[in-house]
Amino acid sequence: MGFRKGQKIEIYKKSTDDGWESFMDAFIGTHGIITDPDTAINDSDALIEVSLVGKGTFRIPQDCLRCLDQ
Amino acid sequence: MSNYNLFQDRKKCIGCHSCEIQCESSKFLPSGSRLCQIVSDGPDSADGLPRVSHVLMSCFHCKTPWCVAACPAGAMKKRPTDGIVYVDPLLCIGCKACMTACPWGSVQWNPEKRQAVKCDFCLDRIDRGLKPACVTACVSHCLKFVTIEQNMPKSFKIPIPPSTPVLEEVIAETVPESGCPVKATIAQLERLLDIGGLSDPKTHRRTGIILDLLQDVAWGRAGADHLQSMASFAQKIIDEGPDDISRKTGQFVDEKLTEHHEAFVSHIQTNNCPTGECVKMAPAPCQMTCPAGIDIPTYVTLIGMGRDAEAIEVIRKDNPFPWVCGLVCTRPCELMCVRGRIDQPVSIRYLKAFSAEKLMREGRYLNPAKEPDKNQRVCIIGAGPAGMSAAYYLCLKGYGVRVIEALPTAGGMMLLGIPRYRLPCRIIDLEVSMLEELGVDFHFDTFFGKDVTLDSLTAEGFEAFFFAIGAHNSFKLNIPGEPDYPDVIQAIDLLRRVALGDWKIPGQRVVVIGGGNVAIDAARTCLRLGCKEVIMAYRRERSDMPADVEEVEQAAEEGVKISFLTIPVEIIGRGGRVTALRCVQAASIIQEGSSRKVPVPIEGSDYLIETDAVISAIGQQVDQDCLSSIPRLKWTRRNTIFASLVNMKTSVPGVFAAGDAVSGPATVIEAIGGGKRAADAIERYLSEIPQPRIPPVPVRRGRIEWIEVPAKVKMELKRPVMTLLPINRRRKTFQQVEIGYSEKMVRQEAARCLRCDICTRCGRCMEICRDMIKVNALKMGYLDFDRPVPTDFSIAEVRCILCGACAVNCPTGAMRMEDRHGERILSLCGTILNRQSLIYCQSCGAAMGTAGYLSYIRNRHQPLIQVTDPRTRCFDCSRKAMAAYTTSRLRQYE
Repeated sequence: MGFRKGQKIEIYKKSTDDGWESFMDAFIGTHGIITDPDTAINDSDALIEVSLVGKGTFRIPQDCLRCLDQ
Repeated sequence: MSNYNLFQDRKKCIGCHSCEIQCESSKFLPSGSRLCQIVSDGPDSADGLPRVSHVLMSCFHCKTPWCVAACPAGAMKKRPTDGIVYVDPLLCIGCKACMTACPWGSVQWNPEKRQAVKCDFCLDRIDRGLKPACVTACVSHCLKFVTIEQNMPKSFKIPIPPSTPVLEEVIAETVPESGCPVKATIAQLERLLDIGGLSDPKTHRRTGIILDLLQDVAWGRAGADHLQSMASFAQKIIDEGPDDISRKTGQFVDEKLTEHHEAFVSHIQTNNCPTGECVKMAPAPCQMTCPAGIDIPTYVTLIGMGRDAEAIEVIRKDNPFPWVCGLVCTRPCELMCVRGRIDQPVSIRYLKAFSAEKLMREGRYLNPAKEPDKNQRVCIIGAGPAGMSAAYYLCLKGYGVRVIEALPTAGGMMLLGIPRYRLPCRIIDLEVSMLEELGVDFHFDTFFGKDVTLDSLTAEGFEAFFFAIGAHNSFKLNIPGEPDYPDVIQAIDLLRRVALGDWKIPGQRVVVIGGGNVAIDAARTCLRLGCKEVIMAYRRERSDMPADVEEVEQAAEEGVKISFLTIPVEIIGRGGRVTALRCVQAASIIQEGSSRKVPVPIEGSDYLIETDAVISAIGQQVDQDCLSSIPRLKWTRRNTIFASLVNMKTSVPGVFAAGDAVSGPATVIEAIGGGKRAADAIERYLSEIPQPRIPPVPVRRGRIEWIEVPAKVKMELKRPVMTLLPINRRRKTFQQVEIGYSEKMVRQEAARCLRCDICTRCGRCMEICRDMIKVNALKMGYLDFDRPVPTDFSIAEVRCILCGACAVNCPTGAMRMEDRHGERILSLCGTILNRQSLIYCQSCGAAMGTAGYLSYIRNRHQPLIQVTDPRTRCFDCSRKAMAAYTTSRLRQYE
């Protein structure tokens, strides 16, 4: 598991994963918080729940995220 | 003095006030802002006859104006070339310092623009060689405007806005993708009207009406027919516009309404602008975070006011299970809670549990009224949180709903996956009974794919289907010995067995493998079943555990041992029974090319943990077998049902899916949100309405007044500590661990809410106070999401002078200044930042401000002149006093 609950993240790029939907393109550049990384424990391929400022809460692939507060 | 003088021949003045009226209209002032004013003095006796004097009071354009000295923003200026004193509206912050400083009452207030205004001799007119508006309107020719010097000086021009673009350019502008189309359309129309290119009066008027209607949309005042009205006016402009520009304007509006139809409808229906640009409709971060979109600030405030029934009504508009979620929600809202940037987030989750329990106890937990029957039927497969949420909302909309469930009871993962010490069974039963009361038809012990199929249900008359079957299959450990012993069990199976009443102990010594919430639940359940020793084997470090911190702490308190950096490699047994788990110690290292730590086994570190049973809790997946009869159903590479997150549509027409079956094992609140979205999509499908292209925006359910709390109390109130069951009882019973808050704690906790649905945290108030007024009385470090700094509301109590500039400049009305019971009070969303006694006008008794504020103004113009008159007069009385003084002085010369 690369992300932990409560970590601040940024969506910095579009994901190539099939869990990425077209409406999510508008999320690139937004910041948020990991609210539930527990879909599949320790699986870097799992969709994780992220709450994005001003956008809402969504399950998105991890490859488009980067930590803000390492 | 200025180079100009405005003389009045009092003998000629008949007091008709035409100069005042002309001034108001030429400056576009609202009624009451009198830059020039005819003040009547008298009647006095003159030459033995009674006579009323009409004195023109405007501005003297003093040589060293106090107003200019008092203005902290540099908005009040004196033109160096001709000495005219004027207000620069681009800089005025509305602090009224100039008004208070002027001893003649010359500076007036424009309540519409919330700025100071004053006579500037009609700068724009005199620069064009014209006379001020008042002079031209004077019917008795008593006003004369003259220059001190014979030659008109070359005037210094006040800055004018940059050149306005041509009409076509404004029309051609596109809305940025991330911006709000409503706000952008308003801005474009305003500019169109400002440019003045619409010469046709009808088009101008109709465009103005459209603009008003758009403002209604942006400020949350619009009704269902606003869109239609706007479209109709746009069409009229297109059809009847006499020129090309008119028709283009109509087409522009029409195109915007069509192109951004969803956004306009969303604004009207949800009272929510997700971009936050329509400031009155900016959503609170907690509401935007909630996967079900519950209007959290509204219900928290209602609970704080003791209005529990209304609070539950608000919650159930987005979540039919307030009590369940009040106990088990993973509360993403609290992670985003702005109060958490100050100290700790508001305990949002438990507040709703308290209200729901109270209402249920008092028999006031009621269902809302259903819409009339639509004679259409929907079948839902799975009686978990997603399935039952969809059932609830579809039933309320008048659809006939049948829920098919393989188990003998409703609840799904709420019942099977969450132990009773966290969520008692009766709470699920009570909330499910509300659905039964509403008319949802439950069919238990019915297996989809065995007892019923899609075809058989279609034949029965169901027109839409919703699959919310959850993720009940566990992942395998895939280590030697796993398939050989019956004592190797899946955590979810254990929890299910216990939930259904089978309390058989898995073994005296148990090892649970995993670090998530399910692993913790399984370990704590084992303790309660009577296991002597429960060890959790987790292959990473504590900081990597995905389980809730509180749950981990409680488990440790109860006696669960957690072995970190422990990788199971083999299950060892004898005589068909498990005897030990072979593990290797791991080291957490960062591998080359990666920023992530990974557990790497340490060679030769094998050791045995003696145990009677091994419980695997490393994740669940969806059972695909039951849906094998629907070959067209598309699956993702994660073995979940492929469905759009926007409308929960699957690859099969009329079949929708949500919950764990789509997302993988997730949370109760996510499943509820998915169920609600699916209900909306199913309604659209059955009504043949197009599906949305973007996920629905959370709906603002109300605009509740705030709770007033003094700043000091707001800072001192801390999140209450949850009372827990004594540890000795926790280890042995399935009694609810969290005992809850008292009523007093609940009401106080609700008062900690910052009301982010009203304050958008733009920081304008703080900037004005710090950079313009230079008082720096607002210390609100929570404004920035990424880098919050300390906050102290109570500092305003010491520093604030109650000038009100923050309130004047607040775009949402969150910062409010008002006079009450002899005090001036400044509050931010109900947090009373400062209150001070008012000082009143010694002549008329009108409120003038606080001692601190008046002293601030005095100190600013003190260097110019020593004030010897200690009297305090309001603006009106200052003007009247000056008029009386002028009259008396002039009479000496008559």
